[in-house]
Amino acid sequence: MSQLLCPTSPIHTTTLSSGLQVVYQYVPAPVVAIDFWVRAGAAAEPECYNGLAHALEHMVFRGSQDFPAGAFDHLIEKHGGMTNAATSQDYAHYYILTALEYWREGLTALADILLRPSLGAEAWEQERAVIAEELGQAQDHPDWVGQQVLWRHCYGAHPYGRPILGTADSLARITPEVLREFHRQYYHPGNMTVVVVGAIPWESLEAVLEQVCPTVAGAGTVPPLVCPLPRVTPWRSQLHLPQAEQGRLWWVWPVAGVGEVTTGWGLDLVATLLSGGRLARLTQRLREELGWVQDIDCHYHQQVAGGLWQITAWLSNAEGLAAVEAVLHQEVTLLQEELVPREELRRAQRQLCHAYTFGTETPQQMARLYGYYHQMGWLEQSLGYRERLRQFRPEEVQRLAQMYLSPQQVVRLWLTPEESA
Amino acid sequence: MTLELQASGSLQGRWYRWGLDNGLTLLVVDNPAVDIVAARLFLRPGMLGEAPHQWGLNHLVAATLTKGTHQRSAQAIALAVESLGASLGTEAAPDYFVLGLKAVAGDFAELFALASELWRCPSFPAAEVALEQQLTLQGLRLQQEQPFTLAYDQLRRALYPDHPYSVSTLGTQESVMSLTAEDLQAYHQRYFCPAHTVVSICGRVEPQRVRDWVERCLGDWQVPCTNWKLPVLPTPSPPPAPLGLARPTHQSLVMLGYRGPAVTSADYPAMKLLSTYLGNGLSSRLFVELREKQGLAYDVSAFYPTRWQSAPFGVYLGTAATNTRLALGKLAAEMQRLLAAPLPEAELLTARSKLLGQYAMGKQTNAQIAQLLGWYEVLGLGADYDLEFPRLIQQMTPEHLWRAAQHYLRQPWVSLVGPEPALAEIT
Repeated sequence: MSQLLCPTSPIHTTTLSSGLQVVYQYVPAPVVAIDFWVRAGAAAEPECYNGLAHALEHMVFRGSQDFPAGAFDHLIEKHGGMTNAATSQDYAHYYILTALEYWREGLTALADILLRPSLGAEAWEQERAVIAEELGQAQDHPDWVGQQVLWRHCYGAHPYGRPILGTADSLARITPEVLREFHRQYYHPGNMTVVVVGAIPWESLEAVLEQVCPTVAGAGTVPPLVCPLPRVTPWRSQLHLPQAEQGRLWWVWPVAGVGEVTTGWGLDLVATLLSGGRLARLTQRLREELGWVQDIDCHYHQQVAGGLWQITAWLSNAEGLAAVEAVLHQEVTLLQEELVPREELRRAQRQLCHAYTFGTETPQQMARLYGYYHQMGWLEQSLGYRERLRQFRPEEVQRLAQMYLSPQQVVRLWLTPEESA
Repeated sequence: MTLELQASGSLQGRWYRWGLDNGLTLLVVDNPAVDIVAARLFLRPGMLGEAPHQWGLNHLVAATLTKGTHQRSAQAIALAVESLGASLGTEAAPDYFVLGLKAVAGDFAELFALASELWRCPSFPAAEVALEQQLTLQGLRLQQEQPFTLAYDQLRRALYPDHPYSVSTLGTQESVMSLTAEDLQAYHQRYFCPAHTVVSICGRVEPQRVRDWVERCLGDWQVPCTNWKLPVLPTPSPPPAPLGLARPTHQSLVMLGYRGPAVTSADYPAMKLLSTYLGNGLSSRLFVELREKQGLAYDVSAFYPTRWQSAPFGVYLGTAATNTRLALGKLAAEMQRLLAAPLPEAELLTARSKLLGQYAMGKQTNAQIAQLLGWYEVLGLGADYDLEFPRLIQQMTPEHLWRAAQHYLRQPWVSLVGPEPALAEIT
């Protein structure tokens, strides 16, 4: 077992004989967070079964032989515990939060439904209807609709271009056999990481994990999917959405081939300089001085094969659109042409460092962060996050803006409630 | 200054309660687990102090309180907060107004001094008020995109005619448009005073030292208190036909609402349990029956907020437009079931341990602890209510729940939002 030094208590990482990877930290808290990460996100699914990874996530909660429908939820929730899951393009993760005294039964049950779900035909019929409702609800959300259009454009034929929820047609093609095959391929200990944060002694945890996650015969690691990202051309498009009450403007740049975690952190820093707080450049000008946007947000979304760096502005009147875009153009260009004053950079660095402190207050937050970085392969570096972040110099920030955020390359979408804006 | 009481090992640290000489209440919890201090400054009575033509006043005060004091500009305030990498925010709630802040322990004193200055002498610059007013109007429009908000708005307008609980904390288009900087100043003069203020602090602090610091920042604040009265609660009856709002959406939002009891009512714990039983989590009754077994919804839940006056109680789901009628029938049948007979003892036991367990888990962060204790204090229940609440929940029997259901859940207000044809089928 290797040990990573952390300012609080060490984080241990190890691989059990079953191939299950474990990330563990002893934290003297009254609750325990357990988070399983499976390298089987939407990008791993065959195109004709789009929505499969997310469908399987739903079906896991339909239970196993030992924990039939409802038994798992009941077990976790009857003591005030909490459970949920999420599916992204790169992974699915399943988590519970439970009072310390119930961690054993919680972990045992979660491992069982994950590794041995029943995936019955009747349950799938019911759950497909639930997912159809989830899709309907998402389609009523303008932000979701716009995001799907952007992903489709930025990733083209790459799996990232498809909706994680799938479509009505692709969901109709998924059968229990398809679910089982996907499960057999990906849901075995060798393709999973479990993160445990709480006041559990390692020896007890290891013993339970060895027992509930045994080696699966014949299971190997799945080779990572290799699919080239498309060359994205600059793009301008408009989307009319009658149920929207407000317009949204997106400026998006695909960020391909980020091999180092520090590049991502630098891009976070750029986002913070532009929209992290009232003094940030775009917020200050567009919201505070001009009152042209209701809100503005910059954000870097990191993914294994390629991320997106995006600006989202919420604004009500279409006449102001050109003026808002002119400001975006100026501010992005300015970052490329002039060095950020040191004081301004220090402020953004301090904000992000403290956001990290505030964002790792509970075992659940910690487990999530460790799990995310572990599946990206950056857990060790992530522990030096605050230190590295403080080392960024104005020249580095300028270089990142020049490299990734060229105004000539932007993918731009305007979503509007009006018919003829 | 008097130390009123020192109690309770129930929270991660012990908590202290002091009354300053000027009437301000201070709660301090020493929780050394992380290098973070969170504080909340509460003010009563929130929206309950707003007249109908001023709805949204608290929100606009919240949006502009950090935009200038008699000593500092909006820019200077933002610079002070952001240079510390701290967070400082304000929020208007139905029953209180709150300023929340969070910093690493070493920065707390400086940040709290700034918060005290904002609390005592904001200047509400006219240009900032005008800006935030415009942005609030846009915010109101943005809220209209959410089917849940539309259904909830429709419901509360019917449940609480002319009462502040009938509208979002943002107010209404009409009321927000009529507000001026003078209204904000007058509101601040009238309500912001030590006797209406509760300061709640949790984190890595030495209680005595933090008390001295609060005393230094706010101890010399002398403002006379104006009395106010709780608004009169109307007593409407459910309309015979469902309330409907047509929208071009994929889903219909189906909601049943009721007028539930206030937090001070003896029925409050029973209703909390009923709400937990119906809609809290993956093992709740509505989730299992309507989502898992019938596939009628992705989002199905219940709400019953803790309120000073009669609180709304509701259940809802989002369903395909073609299922609107079916879903409404199923939801109504579930509510009828609660009236028919007391819940089996085992179901109550599960709801009880779920509620109590979640209550304990809701006190994980310093901000959560500061919020909860301060909120109880400002509602007039006292921070002790943190111990009282679990006791009350323990005492509830199936009969208590049944009687409460009989009393409050007899006749629902039905609120629907969805495509025209789906609504026409019902209304």
